[in-house]
Amino acid sequence: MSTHAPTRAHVRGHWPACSGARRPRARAGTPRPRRPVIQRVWPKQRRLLQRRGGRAAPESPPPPPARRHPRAGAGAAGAAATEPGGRSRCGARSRWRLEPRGAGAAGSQLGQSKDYALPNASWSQDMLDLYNRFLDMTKDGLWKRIPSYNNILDHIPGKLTYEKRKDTRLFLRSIDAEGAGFEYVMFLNTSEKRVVCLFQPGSYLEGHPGFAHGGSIATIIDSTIGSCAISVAGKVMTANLSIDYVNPVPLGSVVLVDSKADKVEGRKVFLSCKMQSVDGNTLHAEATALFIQLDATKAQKQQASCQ
Amino acid sequence: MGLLLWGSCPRAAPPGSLSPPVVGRCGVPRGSLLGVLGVPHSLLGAHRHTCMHTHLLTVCLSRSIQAAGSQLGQSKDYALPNASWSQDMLDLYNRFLDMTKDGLWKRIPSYNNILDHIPGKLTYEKRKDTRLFLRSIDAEGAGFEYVMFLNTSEKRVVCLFQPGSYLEGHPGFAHGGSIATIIDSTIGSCAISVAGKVMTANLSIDYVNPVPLGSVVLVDSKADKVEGRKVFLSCKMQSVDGNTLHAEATGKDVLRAQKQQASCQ
Repeated sequence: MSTHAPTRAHVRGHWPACSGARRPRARAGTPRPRRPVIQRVWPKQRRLLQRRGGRAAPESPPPPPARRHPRAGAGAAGAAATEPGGRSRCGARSRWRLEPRGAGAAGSQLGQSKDYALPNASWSQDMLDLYNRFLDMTKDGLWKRIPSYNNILDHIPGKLTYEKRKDTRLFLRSIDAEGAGFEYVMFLNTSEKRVVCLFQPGSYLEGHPGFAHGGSIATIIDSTIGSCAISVAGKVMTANLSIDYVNPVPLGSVVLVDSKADKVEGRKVFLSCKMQSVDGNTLHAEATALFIQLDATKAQKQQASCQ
Repeated sequence: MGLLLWGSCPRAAPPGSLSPPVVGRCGVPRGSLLGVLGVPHSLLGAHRHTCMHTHLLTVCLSRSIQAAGSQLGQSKDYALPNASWSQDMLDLYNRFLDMTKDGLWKRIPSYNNILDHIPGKLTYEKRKDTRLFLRSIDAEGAGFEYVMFLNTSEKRVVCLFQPGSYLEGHPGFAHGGSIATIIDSTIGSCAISVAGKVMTANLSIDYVNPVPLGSVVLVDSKADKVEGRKVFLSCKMQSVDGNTLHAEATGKDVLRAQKQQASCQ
């Protein structure tokens, strides 16, 4: 009868009796349901991914509980459960880290951009301690770690299309050599309208011999204040930046850049910022800034004129 | 490559003499490549060719200078044209080179380590693996492409700046920090020429229009007044045609105290 599944007597198969036909459809005209692809993750690979803190494959059985490296900070094990993506650090000096930027590498395997705001081998002990302290504070949800990619388009939700990407790089992530450029991570506190940035200048940021360039200080201050303004007012652009350099920053030292939004007047956002050493004794710089909220149509016109 | 081009050019200089169209008469900045080489000043300058392949010529000349410099164990001077410079940048550069002929203006060489800029500190033992921030990006044309010209009598430093693709902030535009960096450097060079060893104490920048990546801007800084150990400077960043003002800045630099210098070494 014609309503039965069509036979494929005319199709050649491997055996004379086999038509080589596929499994017939449930109903004529409907597509055959596809089997889900199960990505097998072998146990050793899974353990490596687990230690690096990458995401486990979807179909594999639940991974064993994260083992805490004896040298890991107190916050790392606790933070592993709450840190987005389940990233556990296991101590920067841990010998299990085959790649310095483990979590980022796992992310790039899955087609995501690499997140640079994570510990790597170049971070000093001061930097790691401070990072762990702030990770502890992210547990109760008041503070959030801001991920950092090397292209500005990855920071803008909804613009993650690889076709739009040209061969540009975000200025603070332009230097390839690990630890030689800007090593920083930002933490956001929305209720206090505050962004804190942990910054370790590398050897390629030299201005005066042994110290960071005034422009690199200005860059990290501009970025931190900018993140604060964006969290408060959305799309903004710097209108004014005024920095008082108090003490020079030695290369390789760790500083805390603490910015907060003072007030919002219409489209203007006024912010201030302090850059201090880790122990809080040395004030390195103070800054004030004015950011203007971008008009959507004006922003589009500006972008059109530059392309 | 530079020598070949000399041979083909109608007004070629005799082979073996390095006569790049770089600086004018006496007053070659100390520590510069040519001063150290001991090239006679009579050979310098005034050989600017106006043949039609100016772009290729300028780039090849600069490469020969750089190559010669590194062969002789000197550091590479980055404040010279390269293939990534746009036509605007080259035209502006040539215009300022013309102005160096009468000695009022001087081109400031630029190396990728700060120690090379300080005369008397050119010892390779002291060098660590650090780089001057503005010359940290390796890829040609991707970072800061700039060259500075100094006018001592007017207390003025002009910087020709072309931001590369690794200086991105907002999509398609240069990062505010990169603008701050080039302004700080230009103002700093001006303050150093006026007062000697200085450090930035304050920098205040008004961003007026964003700078598109790859466009050429002119950063014009001058020293307004000197009060004791303080130097007050101002700066304007404009587009090549002068129509667009990109940024305005004021800066205050102070002379470094002797004991501060000792503490950092």
